[in-house]
Amino acid sequence: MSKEQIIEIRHMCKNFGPTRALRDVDVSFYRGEIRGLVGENGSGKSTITSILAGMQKATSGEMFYKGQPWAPKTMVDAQRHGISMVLQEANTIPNCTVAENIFAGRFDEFSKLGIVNMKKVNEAAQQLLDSFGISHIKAADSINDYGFEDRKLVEIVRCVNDDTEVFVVDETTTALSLEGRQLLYKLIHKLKDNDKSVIFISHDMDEILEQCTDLTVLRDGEIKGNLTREEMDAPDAVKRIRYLMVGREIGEAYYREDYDSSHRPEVALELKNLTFGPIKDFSLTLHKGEIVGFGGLSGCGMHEIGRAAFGLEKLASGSVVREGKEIKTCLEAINSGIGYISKNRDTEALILAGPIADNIVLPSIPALSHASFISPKAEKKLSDGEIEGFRIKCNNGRQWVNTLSGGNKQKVSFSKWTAKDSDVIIMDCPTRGVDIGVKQFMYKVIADMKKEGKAIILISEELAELIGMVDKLIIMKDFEVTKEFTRSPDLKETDIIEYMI
Amino acid sequence: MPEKLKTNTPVEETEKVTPLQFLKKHVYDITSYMGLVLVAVLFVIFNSGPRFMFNLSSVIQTASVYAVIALGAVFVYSMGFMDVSIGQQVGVYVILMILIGNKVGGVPGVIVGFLAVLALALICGAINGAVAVWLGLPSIVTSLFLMFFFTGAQVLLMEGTGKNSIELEQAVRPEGRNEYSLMLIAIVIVLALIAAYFFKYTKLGKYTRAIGANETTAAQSGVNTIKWRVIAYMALGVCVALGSFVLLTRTGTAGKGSGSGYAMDVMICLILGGMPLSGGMKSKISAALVGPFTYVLLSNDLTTMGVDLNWINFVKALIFIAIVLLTCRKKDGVLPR
Amino acid sequence: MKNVKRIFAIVLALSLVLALAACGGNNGPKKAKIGVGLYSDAGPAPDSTKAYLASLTEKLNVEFVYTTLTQTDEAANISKVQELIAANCDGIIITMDMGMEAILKECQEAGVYCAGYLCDFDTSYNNNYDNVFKNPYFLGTVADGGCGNELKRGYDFWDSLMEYNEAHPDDPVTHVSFTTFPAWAFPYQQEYVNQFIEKCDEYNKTAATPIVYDPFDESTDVLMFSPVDSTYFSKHADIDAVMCICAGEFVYGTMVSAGVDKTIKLFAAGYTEGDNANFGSRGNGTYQLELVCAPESITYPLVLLLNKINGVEFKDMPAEAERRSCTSFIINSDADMELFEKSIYLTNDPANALLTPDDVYNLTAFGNENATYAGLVEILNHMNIEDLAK
Repeated sequence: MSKEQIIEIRHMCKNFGPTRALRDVDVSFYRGEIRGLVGENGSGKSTITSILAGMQKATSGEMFYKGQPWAPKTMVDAQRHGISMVLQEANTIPNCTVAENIFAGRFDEFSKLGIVNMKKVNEAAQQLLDSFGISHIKAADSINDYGFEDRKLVEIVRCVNDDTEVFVVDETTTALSLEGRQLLYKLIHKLKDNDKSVIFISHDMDEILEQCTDLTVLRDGEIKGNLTREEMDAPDAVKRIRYLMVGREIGEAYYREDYDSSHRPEVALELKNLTFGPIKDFSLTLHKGEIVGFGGLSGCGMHEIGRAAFGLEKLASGSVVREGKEIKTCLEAINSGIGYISKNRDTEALILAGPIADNIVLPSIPALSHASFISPKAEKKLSDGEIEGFRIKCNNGRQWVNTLSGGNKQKVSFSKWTAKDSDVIIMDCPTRGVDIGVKQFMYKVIADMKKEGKAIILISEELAELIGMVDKLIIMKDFEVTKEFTRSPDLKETDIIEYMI
Repeated sequence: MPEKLKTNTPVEETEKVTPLQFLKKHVYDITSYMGLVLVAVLFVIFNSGPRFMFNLSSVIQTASVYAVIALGAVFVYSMGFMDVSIGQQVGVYVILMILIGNKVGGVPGVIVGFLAVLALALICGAINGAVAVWLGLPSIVTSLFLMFFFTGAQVLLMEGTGKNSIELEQAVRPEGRNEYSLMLIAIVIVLALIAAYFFKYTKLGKYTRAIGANETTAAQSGVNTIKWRVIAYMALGVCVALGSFVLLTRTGTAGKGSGSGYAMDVMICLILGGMPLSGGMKSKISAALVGPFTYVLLSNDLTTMGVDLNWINFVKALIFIAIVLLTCRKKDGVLPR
Repeated sequence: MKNVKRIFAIVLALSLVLALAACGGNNGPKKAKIGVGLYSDAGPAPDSTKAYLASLTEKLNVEFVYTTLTQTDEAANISKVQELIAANCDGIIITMDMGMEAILKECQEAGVYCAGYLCDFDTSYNNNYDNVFKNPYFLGTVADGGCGNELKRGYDFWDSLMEYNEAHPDDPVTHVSFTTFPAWAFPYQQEYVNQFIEKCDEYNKTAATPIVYDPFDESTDVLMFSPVDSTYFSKHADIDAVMCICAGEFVYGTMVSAGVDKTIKLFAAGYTEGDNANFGSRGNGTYQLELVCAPESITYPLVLLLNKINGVEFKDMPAEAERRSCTSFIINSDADMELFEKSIYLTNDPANALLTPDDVYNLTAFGNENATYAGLVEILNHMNIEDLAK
């Protein structure tokens, strides 16, 4: 079967300052396919699609769309010509209704003599939502009433319409609930069946293998291989893809290999009868050398527990105690040796508009300060040590964090607390949006920390990761603990899921 | 396992940075330094006459007051905050120093006056920093409050004296113009060294920049944001008190309008010096030195070049807008909080 | 070779001498640049002052640059003066008594002379006489309304009121109130009020219909350089006229909005653009008196500065700087207003000025060797409304 080519990219290069994000890439996309794009963070997946969808311009190279030279001016321009893209980050307009979000920029279709018929807009929007099978979102409601996941769905509704020829999904699924994902899968298959083209970017290998018809692997801005559906179904496909992505054997060790769930006797952190918001009377004792995991759906309350343990939540009753002292603020938490890797990496964990080094040393400044003086040498030594240890991909420590890829940003966020040598680290989704190479590395760091006697709280939406890493797994649902599991080789995801939903 | 992990350490190739990229990256620094060089060159060209030394010392007199205050203001601006009460504070402090100085008399009077003003300035710093947090208001609101408060205080103090202008009896500046210039330069240099130390090598500078770049992150990284906010405003207070003293050495007198416009002048100086209004990691202490001299030299140049004195403000506004357009990017959110 | 050098040197020296001689050979006054620091940058007074000075540039070989001073900020004024010095001024005319000691220090340092205009320098006169009036670089000042011991403006107000009542026997003014600027800025305005009251009390002893005045009230009658409060007219409910010792514009606007501009008369010091439309019997006839200082009075500081710059001196020049009064235009009838409207003050036409460039030239010591300081002072007495008729 020969498919019709819809997009052709020739010799595309893209440089960000000295960093070469794309190096002479040649790739084509066809009608009637769902093309997976995989690669480690910073391999150039999003760069290709964002150039295609008009978000930025290539440094050099040519693009052809339906046989014509293609140079979109903006995302809106691209969308008008049939190339739509949904991003990882939130992209809805706050304080507007769902309908207004869906039809933003297209109100002329509903207006007569400059007066917009809002009733018509709402009706049309609701019809559209229903057609996508998302009837639980009401067009007339304010977008603020909906959570992140639902907003993502609204975005999808906004950018897919009858004229869509190419649909780009850029790591959107990480933001979606199970239901939302199913909806999205259905949508892309429908598009494929209608002879449209879908480009699907994800870090979730299972998802890629299940949903895609073709696969392109990128590494360091170059195409490293293309797999057909048959090749993807081969028994060693995963291993092969990983090899293409990382450029070396990953080895078997991914998660922790031991099943020793023991820990040291000393208590590292105690949560005593915490009551705040919807959470009632939650208690937990964390020991040195212990990894306690929290699993559940994203609104189950586990993220709030993490925040509370770091002193970020105002408690109605109960207390967080470390070494006999009550922790009431995040300042006290940090001073007593607690670290916290926020789920909201870009807004809470990192100073994006600042050098990597400054980010890394920030929590360690009190320790570096001697009689008010902070030695730049000591700072550099500390940050360079972490950059090397974590292999943060950068030119040097003065490079700004916002120039890094997601995985490298996450490494910076992680390294702040290893630099500080915190004894208790609360990790909220530490591997979110991180590719396997980095993931593997982080798992090793976490396992090493346990050996060193650090106490860790690992909050994650990925069950495999929890099963693979933690000594004790606490499953939550609707702000209550539904089940606890102890580390065991026999623990399966299916055993756990029933306690989550 | 660790051995295997180490096999592929990705090392970025470092390519040659093109001049354009370099320019883009350092647009703040380049425009501000180039600006200073340009106005300095113009100054030398248009002042080749016998009044060169006179004009140079005029520039030093005006710029050093701005520089002293700006050196403190850098800490507040690097948090992305601002203080609009600076001018009125200066006015009240100058009047108080004269009143107290004359009452006590002699050099001790000047010292007592200065210490009293310093204490007041520290209290104002604490109010600007802490009360804003306590009441959950943006700092600009408390500084607006202080501005109105001090405007009233200045008028009341002057009405109390029943005069349009009051004078310090004790002489506080060297008689010779050049000696006076040297004294001012010495004050600015010493203060600049101290401020640079605090800005570059201590918590104060590092934390204020971190707060400006991302307050949430700073707080979650162990920065006591309230405490450092207060300290930064107090540092500004110290410099406002010092700046008021320097201003007093220049005039020896004070009136109802003393210090008016200083808050905006200091802001303009800092922007001309390359300080981003949003604060953060691009903040730099050099802005407090480069800016005031650029600003004052610019006025002087325009005057000596024969621009109508009443048009100078207009020309300055144009240049200011040009610099802001050159250096700020919308994405950074240039408006102060 | 040696000779060539010598000849070359001689030629060089000769040409230099010749060049110098050529310069010195010019008989006209030295090229001078005078900085004028006005109190405002717009309005009829600054405009006509500029027009008058512009007419003198050629004859006196002088160039003028302008700046605006403040009434409250010494540091700002010093900077303005420094700017004028930077702009290469040889002399400076100042209209504000703010930071004078420091300003004169600057002038002395730069060798620039300084003189006053429209300002009595009262603060300096009383508190800092030695440093200001004895400073060799301060040459003196001129102001209208009397300086120090020559105060008489209160009497001008009274006389104008009497003239009005004589002209309007059917509808005389019998009840008045006052407004002034604050004493810290204009210490003599209270004195003017007292002068008026003194005359009024004397008049009421014999008059058939006495004239009532509302006692001066600090809380309502002192204007902080902003319009009078609307409660003023309810507080002074029964008045026929306001004796506005300060600028009339701060009262007139409120009168219009309170709807009393047709019933209450306004006797004011200072003219604002457009006042003439409602003066005397014109328009709604609110204004009945305006006191205006002739812009030509700037001749006094100008001549003193030019003498110094040209290195000449009046034989009878006083040892210490003086402050002199000039007479004001007292405009209190339709005829006065017509005359005033033809003056340079409203036309900005130097042809209407009281003094021609030649007149001014003849007042200087370098233009006329018989010119005297007494002569210069004398012309200040001839700046009345009647002089405009000539």
